[in-house]
Amino acid sequence: MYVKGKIIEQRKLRSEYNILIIEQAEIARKARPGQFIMLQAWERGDIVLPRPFSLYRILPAKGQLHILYKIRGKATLEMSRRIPGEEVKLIGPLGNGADLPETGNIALLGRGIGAAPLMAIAETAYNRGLVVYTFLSARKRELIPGVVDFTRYSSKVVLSTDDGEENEGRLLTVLLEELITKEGIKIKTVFTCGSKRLAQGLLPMETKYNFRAYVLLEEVMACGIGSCKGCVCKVRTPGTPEGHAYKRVCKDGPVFPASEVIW
Amino acid sequence: MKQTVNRSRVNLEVQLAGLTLQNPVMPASGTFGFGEEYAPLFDLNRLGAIVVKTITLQPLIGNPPPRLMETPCGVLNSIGLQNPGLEVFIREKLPYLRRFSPPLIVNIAGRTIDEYAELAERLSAAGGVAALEVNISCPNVKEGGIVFGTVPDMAARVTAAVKSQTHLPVIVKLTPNVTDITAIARAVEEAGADALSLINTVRGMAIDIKTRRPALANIVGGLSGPAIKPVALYAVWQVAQAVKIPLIGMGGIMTSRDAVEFLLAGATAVAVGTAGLVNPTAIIEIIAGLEDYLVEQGLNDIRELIGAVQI
Repeated sequence: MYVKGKIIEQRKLRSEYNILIIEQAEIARKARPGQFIMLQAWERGDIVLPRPFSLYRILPAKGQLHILYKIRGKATLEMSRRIPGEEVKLIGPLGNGADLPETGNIALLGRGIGAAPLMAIAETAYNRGLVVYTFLSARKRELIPGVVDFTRYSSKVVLSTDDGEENEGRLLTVLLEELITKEGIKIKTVFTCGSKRLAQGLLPMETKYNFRAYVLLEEVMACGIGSCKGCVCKVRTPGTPEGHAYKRVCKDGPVFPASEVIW
Repeated sequence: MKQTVNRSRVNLEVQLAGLTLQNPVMPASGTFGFGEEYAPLFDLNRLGAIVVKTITLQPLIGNPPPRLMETPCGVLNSIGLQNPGLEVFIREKLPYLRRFSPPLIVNIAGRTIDEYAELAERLSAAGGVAALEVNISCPNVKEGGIVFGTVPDMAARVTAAVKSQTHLPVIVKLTPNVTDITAIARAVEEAGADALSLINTVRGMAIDIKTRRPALANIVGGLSGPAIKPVALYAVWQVAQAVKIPLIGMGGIMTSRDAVEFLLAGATAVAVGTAGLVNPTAIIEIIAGLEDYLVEQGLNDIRELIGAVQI
């Protein structure tokens, strides 16, 4: 769907993050956690392509999409200048989204802005009666977004910062392992985003602790709908001459079983 | 004196290499996949023609990522002709594409002249293909592609080989990455090409100064988008003077105004690539915009624009 949306709010967070709240009822009704949109929030000829953004919150009742983003380049800078009432263009909802288990506990591991799509997963999982454990890291405390919101939907939120202020900067995978071994919590599914190291760290834990780990990938995209094959990742593909294939992050993902991705 | 033109009487139809196009606008190969992704977004029957992504004899997995990088006013890509190969195309994609009424143009690339010939032969026999577009201009593969598009004699040999194996119109897609594009165009015309597509992407690179590595895994990529429009327009104008066969102009067409420029420069039809990535319905807006332009200019027939630039 290629549609217009209206900006409801541009919320500046304490750190370098913003939340853009867009009214777009149809996408809000159809979108599932883990899906994304292609957004164009500028009228500048030198910025050619729309940009992909994960959905931080999906509020079908209000017809709203919340986009948590970080100002990184000229497109996100333009985006930060948009004010309520202005229109943006969107393509979405796109991608496969996250499949939640019917029952049981899930864990979310996010690094920095990678926490963004995990929020929608946390909220949906909580609303379905699943128990959510959230692990977030960043360089420093203020670069971990959405802690208050995550706390609402999680049984436990564990933080770690590289400066040592939170949990001595220990790896989130180690902290997850402690939850499983020391507190005896069984985890059925793990979703991770924002760090290759985290995704790789989960691999040996999958069989050891009997959970399935999924990674939400980010890639530069052009069309966002699976046509141009620009945003691929390398995926283990038995039965092919190469043993791998390049899959489209936008269409075949952005959620992939962590064990399938070749980094 | 401008005359008043009734919109319903405006003619957008053009003839190109024996094909009748209801309007002169088509997607550029490689940006439109096999149409499946765009079909939910607009009615493909509104296109002048359907042009699908390059097919090779064997499946190609494509180049490693990163494959894309945006540069000011442009997009650098190095996909590497990822495609499922001829057999899968004929078995799985062609039946779907046959449902649509606009002429289907299938883009082909070979590693050798024999491969081009075999692709031409088998696609001609497959049914439902209206024309072949011969890709001798892909900047992103090591074998074939651009190698055939930079030397006039090689370009001519590929064209002749394809012509000998098909009854379909043969459109040859040219690269701008040559000293004199008119020399290639003339060689290809003499070898029997029925039309030319130009331009393919312009070779370029970008470097990530944080990692100090090329932005694309393939180092070099093809630049498309508004950045290359003047380059493309000049190539079309030059080639239009050099050959008699019709041209499909492309390279950075984002709006109907851009499309008009290409027609004026001598293109009979135009292809839209990068614009469709920005706005999936851009191509439909361009068709409507051409109609508006004709009405605005008091013209009844789009053919009056072709090559009408006044020097």
